[in-house]
Amino acid sequence: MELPTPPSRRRFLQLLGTSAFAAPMIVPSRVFGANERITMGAIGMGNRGRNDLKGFLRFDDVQVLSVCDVVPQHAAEAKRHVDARHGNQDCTVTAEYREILEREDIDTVMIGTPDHWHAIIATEAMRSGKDVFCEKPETLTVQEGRAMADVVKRYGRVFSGGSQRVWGDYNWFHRMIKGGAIGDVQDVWVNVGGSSGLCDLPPVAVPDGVDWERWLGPAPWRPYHPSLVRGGFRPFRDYSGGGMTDWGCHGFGGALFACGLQETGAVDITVRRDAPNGEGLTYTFANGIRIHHGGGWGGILSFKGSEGELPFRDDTRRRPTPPNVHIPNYQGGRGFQGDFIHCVRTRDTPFRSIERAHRTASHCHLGNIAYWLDRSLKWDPDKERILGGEEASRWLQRPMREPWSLNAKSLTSS
Amino acid sequence: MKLTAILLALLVATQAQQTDPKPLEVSVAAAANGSAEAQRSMEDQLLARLSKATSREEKAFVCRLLRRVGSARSVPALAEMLGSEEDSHIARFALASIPGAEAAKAMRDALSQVPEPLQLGLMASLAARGDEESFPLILERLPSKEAIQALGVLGTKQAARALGTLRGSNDGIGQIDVIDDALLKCAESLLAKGNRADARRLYVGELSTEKVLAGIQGLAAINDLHAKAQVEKALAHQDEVVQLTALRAMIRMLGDDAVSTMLEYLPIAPLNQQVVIVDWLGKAGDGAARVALAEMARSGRASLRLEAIRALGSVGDASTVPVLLKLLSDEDEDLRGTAKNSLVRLQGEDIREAILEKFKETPSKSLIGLLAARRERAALPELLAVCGGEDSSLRGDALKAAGNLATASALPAFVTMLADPKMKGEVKDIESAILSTFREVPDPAERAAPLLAAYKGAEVPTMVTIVNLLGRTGAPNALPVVRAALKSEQSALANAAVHTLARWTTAEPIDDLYKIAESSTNDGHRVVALRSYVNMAKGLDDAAARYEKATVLAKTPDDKRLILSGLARTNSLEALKLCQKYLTEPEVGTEAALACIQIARRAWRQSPDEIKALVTSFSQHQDDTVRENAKVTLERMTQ
Repeated sequence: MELPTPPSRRRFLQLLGTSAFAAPMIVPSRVFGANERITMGAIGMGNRGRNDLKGFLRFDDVQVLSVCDVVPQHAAEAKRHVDARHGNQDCTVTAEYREILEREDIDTVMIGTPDHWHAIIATEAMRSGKDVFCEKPETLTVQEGRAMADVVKRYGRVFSGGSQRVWGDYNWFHRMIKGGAIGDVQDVWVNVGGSSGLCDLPPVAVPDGVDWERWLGPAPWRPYHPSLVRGGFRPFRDYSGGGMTDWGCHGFGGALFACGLQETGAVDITVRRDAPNGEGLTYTFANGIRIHHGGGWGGILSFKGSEGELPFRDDTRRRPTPPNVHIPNYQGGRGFQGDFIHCVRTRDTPFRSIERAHRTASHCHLGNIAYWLDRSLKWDPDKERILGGEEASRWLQRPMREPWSLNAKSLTSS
Repeated sequence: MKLTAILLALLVATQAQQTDPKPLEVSVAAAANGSAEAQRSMEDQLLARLSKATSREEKAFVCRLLRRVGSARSVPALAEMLGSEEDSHIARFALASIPGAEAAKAMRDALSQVPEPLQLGLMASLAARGDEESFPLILERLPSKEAIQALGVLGTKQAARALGTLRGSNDGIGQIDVIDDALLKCAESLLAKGNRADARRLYVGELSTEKVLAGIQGLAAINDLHAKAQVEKALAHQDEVVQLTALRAMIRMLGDDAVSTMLEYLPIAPLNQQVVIVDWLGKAGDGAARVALAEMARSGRASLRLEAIRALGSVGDASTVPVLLKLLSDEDEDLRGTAKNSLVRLQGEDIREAILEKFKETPSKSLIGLLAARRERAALPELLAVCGGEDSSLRGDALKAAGNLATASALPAFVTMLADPKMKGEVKDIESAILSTFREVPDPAERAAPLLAAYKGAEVPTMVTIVNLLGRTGAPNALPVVRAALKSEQSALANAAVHTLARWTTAEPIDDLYKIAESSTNDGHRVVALRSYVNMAKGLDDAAARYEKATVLAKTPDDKRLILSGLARTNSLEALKLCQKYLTEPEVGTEAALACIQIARRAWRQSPDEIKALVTSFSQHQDDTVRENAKVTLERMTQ
């Protein structure tokens, strides 16, 4: 075997069909060489954020330079982990995330805040030249997801969402399905929690040290309540989509990926009031596949195909997967967080790309909208518009409290 | 008005007076799905409630609901709140969602009247609506950052021109990043409308360094000769992120020509770009890259070799298998592992044949691992040959692989190996292989058949192994053999028989176990048999009688504890009574109390008063653990 003859530079110009080739043999100013560390700022250091942080701290080639949280104890705990890992006291602490975004020595940002902050911090970080790892649910509305995807595309940034389960936990299903174990997928059941609702927690005086205005950020104002800052924000619509988006981003993410629907959306979302198997919603896709919220054989995921079924049961999951089934997944050989670091170096697209994260979260948001309105929806996944439902379309975006703004067009704008 | 609409309107009107927010929200949802009259009625009620609201919380609550059902009729009331520092945002929260010209006009009108901090949200909401009439009002607020951002969101040619002018003026100094971001958004909007010329001008204008990346993305979308030239320049940019982004953009722009062009560029590209190109060539899956990738996999910088080996997993064919097979014995662990993964991914009959040919020629541990990872059942005959072959260093790995790949037909071969004198050191591996093979043989009798055949005339150590395995078959016809082994004078065989009966997969040998527990002189056997007897009794129809029978055998405190531990796992009232018999025995009284409590947790609904009284009596027990468990159990019973 012989290599092709190396082309001259002139030949390469001809190949490209341009006339201004510049010498490539240069020394870059910002180098992600094999031995260079990727530097990181970590924002939102509650339980989940600290878990993600610990995940990145496993890597010798990642150095966390700063941590941020509006709750001082969370930030202090995070700093303790970082300093212990790096063997120094260098990690800075701040309650103001923009201090991290302004630092030129930070390459990447990890976001573990409550959901209503994700889009603001992620888009600002990417505009500031940072690559972003964002915990799921990556968005609070459909518009946020599209705006984030636009920024990723605009600046060529690397963005990874934070569901470790879509591949890590559910790859057995993916391998079985791709290997033809159940023929063509017809129905998928996803068992995750329900939607969020109004917050009716009683008002409580803001304790010293908690910046409540900053915790609320872009969300509509309401009085302080301690459970909100301790991770208890998920049942409430102003900050989260509830179990529907929390575990939904895992479960529906797995279902969409298994069916090859991870970068599109359903065309019909039907509210099922008296479904015999307990399904709350049925999403129907253009190719006829149905994904149900609830029902099935229990467990978070179960599949039915033209030639069999795959329930989520331990005894079933011991079945060996068909041989020689290769499905592109994480790159870099270090799990989902390693996938992000690999892509930061190579400028490739991570497994949980913004488009997949956005489409999965949108799937969950549309389910929530159907539940909130208690009515079925028609959806155009290409244009990302609800068809024939002005009231439903109002939920595709939410105005933010000043001074915060997503700086993006509304999905219902002309 | 139809009767149903009137009733719904009345319901809505009533519920709008409620103070509990959740039912009211349900009513709002019903109204939103209902007739125009129902919606109007709900809106009226909410507006009435808003007009009377005095607290910030109350206003915020009503505005959240008006966001769902508000129409032009809500605009005046909401517009009034836009000037309030506390309430402006929540009014806008509702107003911005209301379609129609009235809401937009209200926000435009407010823009000139509200304090500056509140103007930010209004500008953002107007721009998000794409309200071009707000352009002059936003223009007046330049060079504020929020006005710049709003112009970017508007994204019109007019907005782009204003931003361009600002960029070149003294007012734009210090805001270049924000202006460029807004200009890029304008470029995207213009491109989406088909205005490529104006978009290009914006992408190649005086963008700040970080925004070069964005320019590349935009130029890749335009993708004409001029755009290519600009992106090509960025291949040599000082910033590596820019370089690699440009490279990926260039690959996209080249389309069908990308593979051939990149193959020619590959040898002269800098190393960081070579790594990305090789990675991409693998994903592109074009066989044209095969020769170059195989060459790179053979030698050179380790990072590049790794990528090339990985890429061969996608584009390789039988011709590249020898390269990868050779790498399986490379001294670098990463290269070895990556080569193996690539070989696992390659599919096709010719690939299988090439690997099998190599295995037949020179079997090795790495090839055995590869065959197992590829789940190559076609290799089973060769693997079995290695299992029974002369090279003892390969037998263990081969047995593991063959066990995992085995079909039912391999079972006799594994059983024969049990008696092979040269394989005495691999008995455990053979056992594992046989157990793996059982997965492929659903019929217990078929599992047992070759073992029973081999049992006759086997040496004692082999018989011991076979008896152990028979216990895992669950075959009824194996039981007589195991019973016979119980009587063997060979202690190892008798011992194996006792343990095999003790873990039998059904309760069939329960009476054999009772006899052992009753009459064995071997204390170990007695304990094993008694424990298994109690376990097997659980779930049988005559479980209670069997438990009682077991208590007769309990002579020592240890025996009694054993019985109590078995009884504790049941939910039977009979078992509970048996446990109570031991409560007064000083050596096992505490264990008896704990067993009673455990049963009570599961069985208390069968006789609530009686069991509650029993557990209550433990509240004064001398043992802390008993008292604590009793307390927790009583709490559960009263919940």
